[in-house]
Amino acid sequence: MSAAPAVTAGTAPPPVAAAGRSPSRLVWDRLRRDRAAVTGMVIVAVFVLVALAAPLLTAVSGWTPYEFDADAIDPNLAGMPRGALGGIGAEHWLGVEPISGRDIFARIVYGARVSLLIAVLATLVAVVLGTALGLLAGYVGGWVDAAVSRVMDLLMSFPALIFMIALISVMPDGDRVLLLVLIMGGFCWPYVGRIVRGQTITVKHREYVDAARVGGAMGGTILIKEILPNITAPILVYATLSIPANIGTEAALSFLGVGVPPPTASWGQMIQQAILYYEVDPMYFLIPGGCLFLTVLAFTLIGDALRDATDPKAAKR
Amino acid sequence: MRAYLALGVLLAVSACGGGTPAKPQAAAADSKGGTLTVLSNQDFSHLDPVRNWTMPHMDFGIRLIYRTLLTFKSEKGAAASELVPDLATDLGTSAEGGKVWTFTLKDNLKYEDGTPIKAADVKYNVERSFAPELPGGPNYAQVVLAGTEGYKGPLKGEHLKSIETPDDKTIVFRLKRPVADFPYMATLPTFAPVPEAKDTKEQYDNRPFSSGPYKIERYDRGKELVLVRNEHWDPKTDTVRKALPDRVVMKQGLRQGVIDDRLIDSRGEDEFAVGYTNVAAESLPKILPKADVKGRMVSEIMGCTDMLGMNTAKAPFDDPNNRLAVHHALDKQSLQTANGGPVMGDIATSFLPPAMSGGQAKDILGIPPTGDTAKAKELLGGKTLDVDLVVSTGDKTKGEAVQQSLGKAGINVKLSTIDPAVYNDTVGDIAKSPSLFLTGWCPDYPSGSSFLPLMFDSRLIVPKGNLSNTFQFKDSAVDKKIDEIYAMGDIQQANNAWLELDKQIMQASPAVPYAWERKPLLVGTGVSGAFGHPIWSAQLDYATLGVKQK
Repeated sequence: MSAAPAVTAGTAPPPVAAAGRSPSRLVWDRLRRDRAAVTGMVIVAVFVLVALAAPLLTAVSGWTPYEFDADAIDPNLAGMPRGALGGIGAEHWLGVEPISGRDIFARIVYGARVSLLIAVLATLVAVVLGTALGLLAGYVGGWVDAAVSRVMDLLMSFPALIFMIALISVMPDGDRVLLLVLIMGGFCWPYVGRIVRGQTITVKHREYVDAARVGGAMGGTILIKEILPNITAPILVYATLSIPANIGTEAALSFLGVGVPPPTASWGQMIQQAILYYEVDPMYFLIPGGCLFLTVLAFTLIGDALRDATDPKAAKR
Repeated sequence: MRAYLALGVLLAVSACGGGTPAKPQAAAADSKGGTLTVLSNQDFSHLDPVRNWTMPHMDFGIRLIYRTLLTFKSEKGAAASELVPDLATDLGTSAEGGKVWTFTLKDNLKYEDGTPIKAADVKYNVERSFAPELPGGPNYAQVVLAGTEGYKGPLKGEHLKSIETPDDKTIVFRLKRPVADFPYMATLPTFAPVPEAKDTKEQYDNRPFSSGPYKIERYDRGKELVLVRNEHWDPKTDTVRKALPDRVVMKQGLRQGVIDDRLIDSRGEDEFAVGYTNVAAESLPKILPKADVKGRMVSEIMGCTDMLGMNTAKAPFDDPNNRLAVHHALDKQSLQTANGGPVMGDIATSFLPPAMSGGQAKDILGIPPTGDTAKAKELLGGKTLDVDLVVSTGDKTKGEAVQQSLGKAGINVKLSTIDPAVYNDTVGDIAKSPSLFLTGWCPDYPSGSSFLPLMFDSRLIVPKGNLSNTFQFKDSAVDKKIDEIYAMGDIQQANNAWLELDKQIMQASPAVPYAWERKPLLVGTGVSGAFGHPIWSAQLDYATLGVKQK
């Protein structure tokens, strides 16, 4: 995945004229100067690298995420990890899970894969669906707009989390990751769709759109060449902010027992299990909880910075 | 006893009952009086005596609300499996070689409204156990009574001829075959009195009419049950129940972690509280290192056998070789750890628990406790299996332990967790039953006849709602052997034959027994007379619990 702070599309005239720089360049420069955004990007980069290099890292640490280690736990103390801080040491870098003795480091790095993958893919589904339908509704108007808008209203008024739990519980056990992605994406797109529709309605009456139409451009061309590039900024901001929300949702669903199936590691599952032990083995809870916190924080920082950077009114800083 | 289900941690249900502050009244020397609080994470499945067939619930009902013809002594250890008369004057007299059993009722037995308890009321309740409207209870009466074909219970006015009540004090049971164990069966709540006039049928579950020392004052299902003294219960007629507290208040639907923390602290009303449901494994590290708290934890051997069950009706476990491979591959030690370690239970090596094999555990197949992966692979002959395992939500760590150890031998397990409320129904439905599942069995009374036949007799399999032979195990040799043992008059000979049958079934391997668990229960600092009764899966004996005087 990539946080894609570099805005690629940029055929529209820059809203603020700044000495010969393209809008994407402008945003990137602003982001680079924003310390919070840089921190966020570094954290995200580290976690992405860790997730990508999971097999390599566990080869070095010597434990797979599924291996039980009976020697690392004390059966006479109800399976608590041996040693201080949840069994942190040279053998297990971040300690072990109580009862099974599975290596927490291995589960964290593999868990990062699942958590990030689901969050990014779900965001992608939401953004693609939301943008496509939002553009359509805003540009075509009439009954298409009415239909799409009512569907969005319907989805947004659902108590999404409860509905997701119900849906996942009744679904035949297929690929849970795919299911989670589709369901989370399916419930999130109206939020993108709303923004895109509103923006499209504003933009479609601008002079340059009229000019393109007079020049003989077809609807599809106008949508993609003229309108979409001008509403990219809010979509990007939304996407960056919805990734942490989706990581949180995945954690919540796993926490409620409808996430990825065991023994697959995900941060949400780890936190769910660890909450039972928060008093007797706090490290078990703090490690996945800390990782989740950092990732969510990082994406939020990037999203905030991106919003500032793309907002012409906040130019002077 | 019916298959019991580890209810685990119910995340969703946590309605903290508002506290009624207990007033420990200064009573006379024998710590009589006061309010005993019982903390539970669940509601009763059933309190109606003919529907109550879950171990800890039977204990609660029998010791507090209703009396049965016979019952078990209220003592620790081996003496606990000794029978004593309860409503009856003696342990019953048999005739015709054990085909006819006669009991006589004591004098001065009264219900909560002061009306006398009659023999006909016991007959009426036994008949109720046949009613399809009232499912879920012990089925021994259906199995042993004569002339019951097509009988559908007394609710439409039909009565059984095989139970006779010549007068208000005498009841005679006519059986279809000699049953030496019949007095044991007469301890089940099926043999408690229910007056026909007070029978509210399906609603009786919410308000059983008391024949015991306490009656129900208020029962808000899933939240709170309040018992107060039944003034018409005469302690002179009862040798078992001490009935010390004035009130018993059960708070239901609490989270187990909350219950454990409250009892560890033991402050305020919790000083006079006992836990009803097992201490959570996660709470044990808070209890074991503290001697004073550990001393307040009662943990007796439950007498139940925990098993990894296999669906023998479908591939791949229709092949005994594959089943034996699972038997060798399973790492029972990791399951033991998931259950709380050696403190909380022993590793099982046969179906019959040690209490039924002369106190000694029998290791029938001689597999090491961590499993024998090499032998399992050899039995599989190089192939791998793909199977599914279903566990209830609270058993996820156990499920993962099974998954891990079977995976090493090439048996790939797909694990899914389902809600405890639907677990038994899923496993007991032959259309839905998964390849592997976790189950357990607790005998109703200390005899192999309350254990092996119920679990492995193929004639007990029904399409839906199987509680016992969930393995759908069909072996005509085993069925035949069961009938032979039933026919044995000598109890010792029968006991040895049950042990032989245990070996035979272990070889056929429809399930892997993995643990003989202890039941960990915490009691507050102000509670007296707490011990686990081995008959009711080591639940506290509610007959002796009292609240200490300050």
